[in-house]
Amino acid sequence: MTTLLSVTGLNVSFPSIRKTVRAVRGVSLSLDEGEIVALVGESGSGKTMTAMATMGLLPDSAEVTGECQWLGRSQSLSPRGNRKSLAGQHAAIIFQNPLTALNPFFTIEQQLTDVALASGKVSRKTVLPVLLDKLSRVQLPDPAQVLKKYPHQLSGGQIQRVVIAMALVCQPRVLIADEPTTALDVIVQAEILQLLQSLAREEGLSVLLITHDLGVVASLCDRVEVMYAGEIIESGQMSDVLRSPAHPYTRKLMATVPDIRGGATVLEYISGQVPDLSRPIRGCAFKERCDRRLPVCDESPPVRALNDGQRYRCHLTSEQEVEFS
Amino acid sequence: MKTYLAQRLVQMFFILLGVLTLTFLLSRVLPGSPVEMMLGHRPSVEQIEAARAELGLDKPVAVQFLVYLRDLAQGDLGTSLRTGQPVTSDLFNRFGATFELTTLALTIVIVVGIPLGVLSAVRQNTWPDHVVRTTSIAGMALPVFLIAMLMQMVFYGRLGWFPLQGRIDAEIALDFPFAQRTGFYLVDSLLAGQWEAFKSAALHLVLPVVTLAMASMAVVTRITRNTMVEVLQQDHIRTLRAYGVGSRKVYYKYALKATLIPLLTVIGLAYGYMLGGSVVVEFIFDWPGMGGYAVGGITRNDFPAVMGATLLLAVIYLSLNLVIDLLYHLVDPRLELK
Repeated sequence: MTTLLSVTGLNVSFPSIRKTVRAVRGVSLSLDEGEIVALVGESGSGKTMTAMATMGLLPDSAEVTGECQWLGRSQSLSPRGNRKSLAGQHAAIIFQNPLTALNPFFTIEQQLTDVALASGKVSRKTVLPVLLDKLSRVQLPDPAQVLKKYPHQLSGGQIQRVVIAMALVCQPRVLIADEPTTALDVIVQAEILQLLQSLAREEGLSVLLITHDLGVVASLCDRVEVMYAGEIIESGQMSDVLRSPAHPYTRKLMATVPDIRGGATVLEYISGQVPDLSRPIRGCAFKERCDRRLPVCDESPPVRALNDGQRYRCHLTSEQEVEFS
Repeated sequence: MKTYLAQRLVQMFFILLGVLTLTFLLSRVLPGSPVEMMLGHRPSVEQIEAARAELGLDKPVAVQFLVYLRDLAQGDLGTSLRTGQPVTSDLFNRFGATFELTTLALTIVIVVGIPLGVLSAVRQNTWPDHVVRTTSIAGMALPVFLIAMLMQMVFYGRLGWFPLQGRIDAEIALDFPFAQRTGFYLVDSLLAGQWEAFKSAALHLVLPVVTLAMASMAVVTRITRNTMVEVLQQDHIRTLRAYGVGSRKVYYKYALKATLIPLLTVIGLAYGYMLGGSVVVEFIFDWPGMGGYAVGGITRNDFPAVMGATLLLAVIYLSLNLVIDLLYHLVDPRLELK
């Protein structure tokens, strides 16, 4: 299996006169062909920044270091002049809110055409059949009709399909989907997730799914990377991480998901706040909120490996965890 | 579309009727009468009576108004008491002057002001942006009369590049006469093939046009910049950029269209302001336009002239509004004609 995307030691910071915000710290991850990988974390944990950095889409004010390879070829991570990069050839990104992702003043056809032409993979003469083909692949009925419409004439789910079609027009091998279902209602969410899954299966498309919704992760993904305060704190196969989370944060995160069979229980939450990323963090970033805190937590935690490739960044060994509980 | 237009036209008709009624009443109620102007110092009672009868002022106000409306329906706006000419032909001459001035000024505002605003937004917080913002604030803050006089001092007084005032050199107008067909000297002189007259008219236009354009351009540039800055941060622009769509296309096709709605509003307002508010510019540059005609009419109790000028300005203003509203619908597919 080929590795399409691999990121090693990615750091993203936003320096300004008064302080420097370190949004992403030492993130490494990889994405294989046909794989769906979830990047999970709460708001501000750096998941979107990580994705934007791999796509070369961060604003010019960002300072980016680390290594990023698309199909084994290195790509510069500097945000400047990077828009028609390797990333652009191999990957396409779907942004958070489909309802604002399209320009309200132009028809779907105008926008898809300009994107297709910009990808350099389609010529003006052949563009129309390509658009129709992609629109039918995202299971939109009557694609020819859809092309003539303006965004406000479509429903949220339809727009998200158009946005996915827009990504497919560029013939990517990797799809980066940033919370693709957050703005949609539950039934449409399920449909869009199914669509992503079938695209991954049938077309060998790899998906990097950014989400905070563990339900989505469980229903869709092969592997999970959990982010907290700009770091990846746990990673592994989806079933391993969700069934037997090793990091105290992941464990607490799992506990916050209400269980439908559990009857009326008190809703779990994680007390405390995410640390201020503009201040240096000593040791573990989660220690202030952790109920397994040890004296050693003031030092930087090691990455521990369990069987089946599950890894977590914590001082706590699995034996100690058993003692705790 | 047709019903919408019909509705708007009916609406316009009633608004115009309202404007006419109000202006008519005001002119009759306010102290002072054209008779005094006509007859001069210490007229006899008989003279006054005769003059009032001649002007129709002896009849009740309601009757006077109906007579005015009847004449208006036949395209007769009466005779100016000042010039002795039919108000329609006075207005045609005057309006041509104002219209030529404001149209050219508006063209400059659009052709220069909008690209400057775009440049400023695209290069946000760099030196081109700072230059544009500072000049546009200065343009807004300086009173028109000051700009006008500075223009005259520099470009007429010091450099001698352009004439001081007027629409055309009187001698040239005599030597190279041309018929007034459109009211635009530039067009009329060209139609008549009078090259010298065209040159003189063009030179005369430069200073007043630039002066008039300055203030409005400042507003248009600022609005373009600020709206554009906002639009450029919107998700749909990010989408296009993420897919590598070229900057020029993103800025001038996708972002500019999204800024057009507030821009159209401001341009409409600017044009209306220029038409009505060009009085100062007309005065300083001795420009024979509508503003001067209306103000002169008011100070001399020239009722028909005031009525005619008000009516014409109201018609222009309302049509302008209608055009802008129709343009909104052309720009924004989300709006429906109701």
